[in-house]
Amino acid sequence: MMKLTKIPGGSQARRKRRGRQWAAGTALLLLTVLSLVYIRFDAAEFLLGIPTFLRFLFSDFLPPDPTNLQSYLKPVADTFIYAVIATFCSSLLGVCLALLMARTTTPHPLVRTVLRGLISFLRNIPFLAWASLLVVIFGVGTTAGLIALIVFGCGFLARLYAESIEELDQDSMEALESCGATYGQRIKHAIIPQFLPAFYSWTLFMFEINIRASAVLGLVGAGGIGALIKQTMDLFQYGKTSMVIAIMVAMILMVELMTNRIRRRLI
Amino acid sequence: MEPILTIQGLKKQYSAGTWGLNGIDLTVQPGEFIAVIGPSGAGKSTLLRCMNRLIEPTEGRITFLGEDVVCANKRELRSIRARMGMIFQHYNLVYRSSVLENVLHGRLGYMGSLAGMLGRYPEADKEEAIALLEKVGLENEVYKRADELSGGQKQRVGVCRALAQKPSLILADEPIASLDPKSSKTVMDAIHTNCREQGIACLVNLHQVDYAKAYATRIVGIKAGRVVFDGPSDQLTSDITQYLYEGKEDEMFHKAAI
Ligand SMILES: Nc1ncnc2c1ncn2[C@@H]1O[C@H](COP(=O)(O)OP(=O)(O)OP(=O)(O)O)[C@@H](O)[C@H]1O
Ligand SMILES: [Mg+2]
Repeated sequence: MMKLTKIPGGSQARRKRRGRQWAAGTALLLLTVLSLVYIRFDAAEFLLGIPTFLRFLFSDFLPPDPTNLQSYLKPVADTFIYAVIATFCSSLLGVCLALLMARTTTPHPLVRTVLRGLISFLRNIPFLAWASLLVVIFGVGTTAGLIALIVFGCGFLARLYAESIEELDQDSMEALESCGATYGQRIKHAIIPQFLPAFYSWTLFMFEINIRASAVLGLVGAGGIGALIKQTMDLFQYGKTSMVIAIMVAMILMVELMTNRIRRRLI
Repeated sequence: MEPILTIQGLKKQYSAGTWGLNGIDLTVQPGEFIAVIGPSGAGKSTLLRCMNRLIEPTEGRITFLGEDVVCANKRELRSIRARMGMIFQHYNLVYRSSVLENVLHGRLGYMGSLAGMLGRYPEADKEEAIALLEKVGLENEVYKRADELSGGQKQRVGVCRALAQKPSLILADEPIASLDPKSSKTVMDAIHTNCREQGIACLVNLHQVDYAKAYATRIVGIKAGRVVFDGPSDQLTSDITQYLYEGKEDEMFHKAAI
């Protein structure tokens, strides 16, 4: 009896769902076509451009030009060091902010509301906009880049940390409260131990993002390996540009390999 | 004898129309072992949680060792909580910390905030914590992580944490509701023996009437937020239990069967 009534209802629901999927797909396609028309995308221009692009790629860009390799060493090291410092600072600041702003650990709901607003404002300014802005303030160089990375990472991590903290089991918090533990003691003994795995995981993720971000900082004049890309391109030394890009990719891959290994160790 | 705890006209309103407690009067003498029984939703957990203000009472007075609990400020409340141990149905341990650390958490209420945060427990506290664990048969689990233990072992750690507080009163909210009969007995014995020996008064919420009769010196029956029975265990007749669980008899049997 149950089965008889269930099957028609099920297939009806499935048909309905399929109909909705079709509608969504069609809408998406239509939107893409309209957008292409709007930006005056010229298919002919694109297709005719392909040979020029390939010629450029293989004659000017490749092979990478390995002369003066040792002069790249400092920018590469700089990029790496930026990422380390920025990740360290933003994770420390991020934890403090997250504790103040997570629903379960905030000292006062007002603190939570204010911080959440502030953080979401900071986080929604694109990273390169931060960097450009800070270059104007601090001038071309490392300070601007580093501060941009820290501000951006701070907002990003604070939110992720806060969400992880809110998901933690509240029972032990309650138990420590019933023992007469202070706010600080409850955070230290009930929240921190439970939060550590999520903390490691998000911080390593942040480090990967920071490596990529610090590599492009140079494009807006905020130091690091990205500056080399801009410099060599401005001088039409495309062989060197491709060398720098190759080094950048190698560095990012190495960092990913490293973080994966650490992650497996820790969690 | 001066009572340890006096409750007068205690009421708790959760929201308009939802009353957890409807005027409770209760006096606890030193060393008493009181079982609180009643059907689900009667207000047993609410009552216990109002004692250390994990839940804020709406109305009424609570006096613990001569101190007013309801009006206590932050510092006073902390000192009151330090002297009231609590045992939870779901153990409420910090599972990623060691068994010993979990027991030592019971000492936090007596320590300075910073010293407590840094985990600078006095050597004597550590020795006593280990002694407590040995007493409940967990001498081989002291340095294990709390999540490696079985349910019954976890609850014994919970009992040790409460005992580490050297409390005058222990509040136990259904300490054995998630345990099998064998572990239930071990845990109840651990609570009972220690309270007896150290003269700790105990309020324990129980679903199982037979356990209540076996351990308690006094039974308090609660129904719809009111005390409907208060007397020595042997005066709890089957008529009274019938009345207490009226309309919810199945629950009583079901819970007793677990
Ligand atoms: N956080 C809450 N918000 C609103 N109402 C609540 C809340 N906690 C409990 N109540 C209500 O208060 C009444 C008493 O609940 P309480 O948890 O104290 O009962 P209990 O006797 O412990 O039941 P059980 O045996 O199921 O644990 C119930 O009617 C319940 O619905
Ligand atoms: Mg309950």
